[in-house]
Amino acid sequence: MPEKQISQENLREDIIYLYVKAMDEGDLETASMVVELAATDTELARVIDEIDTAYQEEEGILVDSEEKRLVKDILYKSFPSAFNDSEEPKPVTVGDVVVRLLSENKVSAIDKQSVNNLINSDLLLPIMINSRTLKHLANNLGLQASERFWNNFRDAAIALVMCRSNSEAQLAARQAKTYKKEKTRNSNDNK
Amino acid sequence: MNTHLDELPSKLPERGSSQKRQIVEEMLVSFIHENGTKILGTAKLYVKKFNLAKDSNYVDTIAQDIIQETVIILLKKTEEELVKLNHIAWVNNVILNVIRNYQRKNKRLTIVSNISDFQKNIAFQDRELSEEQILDILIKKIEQQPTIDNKLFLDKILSLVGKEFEEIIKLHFYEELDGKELAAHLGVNEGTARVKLCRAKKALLTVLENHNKS
Repeated sequence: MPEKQISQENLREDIIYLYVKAMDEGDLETASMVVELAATDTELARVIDEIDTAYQEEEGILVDSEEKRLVKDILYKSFPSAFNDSEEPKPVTVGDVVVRLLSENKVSAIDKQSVNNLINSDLLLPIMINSRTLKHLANNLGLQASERFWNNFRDAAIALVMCRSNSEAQLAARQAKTYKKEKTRNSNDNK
Repeated sequence: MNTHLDELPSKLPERGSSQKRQIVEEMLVSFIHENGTKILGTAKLYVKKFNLAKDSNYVDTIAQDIIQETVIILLKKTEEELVKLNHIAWVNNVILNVIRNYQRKNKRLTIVSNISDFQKNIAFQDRELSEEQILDILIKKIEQQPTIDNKLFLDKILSLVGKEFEEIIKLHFYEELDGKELAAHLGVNEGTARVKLCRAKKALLTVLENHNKS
């Protein structure tokens, strides 16, 4: 092995020693200096990473589902846009309601056969959901189903529409907040 | 039409500041998605090791604040600078700088002048810690005391170091095992082996120093 390489490796070993000593003694300045050196030395960075993992195990620092939630919180606070906020909630379709009813086992065996054909229906729900508009919808779809089915359909449709409206309200609030932030930033930049 | 060479770069289409910001945000989001739990773990480790939390219940909260502050700092970096996100040590360095600022708020620290001085002086700062020096002391001791059985002397030193470090000292100084080989022999990961080895060297040095004094 060339002499230069040996001396470099010896120096690296000394630095690793200093890092462990600094971590054990709570010496932040030395540890910072070593990590700064590691940013330009791949091998040193790899070893420091291994040592940090060993210390985390020793200290009982575990990454569990709670940690993942904390990271998600940090992401959300820093980048609300990372959560696809720009994607507006889609309007509720007949297919959405049918899927929900089927998943909740709220379709009787007699209605199931005719209802199954509506799973992929993109037809939008009427703006007002009541017995008159649902009757009109049934005529348009040419669907023969029990009264019980239509009662369940109405309840599920109202629940889905309310849920989407809530999402829209949250989205609007977030967009307003982002707009205000952006405006403040721009005015500060102009100053 | 003649175009002066110096004018060329300014004529190239440039990305708007909002577009640049969006790229920076995307890079950071992707980095945190992939490495979020890792850097949070590191932040927690630093908070514990450098006693930032007076109460262990606050470790998580302080670590979160540290990461939040780190993200704010990284957001101010340019797209070109954020290429360094590939090197986790660079991110850890930013985290440590945040921690230093955090600690400075509570107490005054003695700051080491600069990284190059530190690099130059490593050998002098901890000269007594080099392996060669440790081996030298051992050999000299053996040479100085020819009447004493060498093995007995070494056994005595190792017994003073303690059982915990005895095996690792033998493996490192006698078998010349290091890093991954040492870890494989001990049946632990490389990081744990290195931490143990460093602690063993420190213990050995203390024993030798005390032996010299006596």
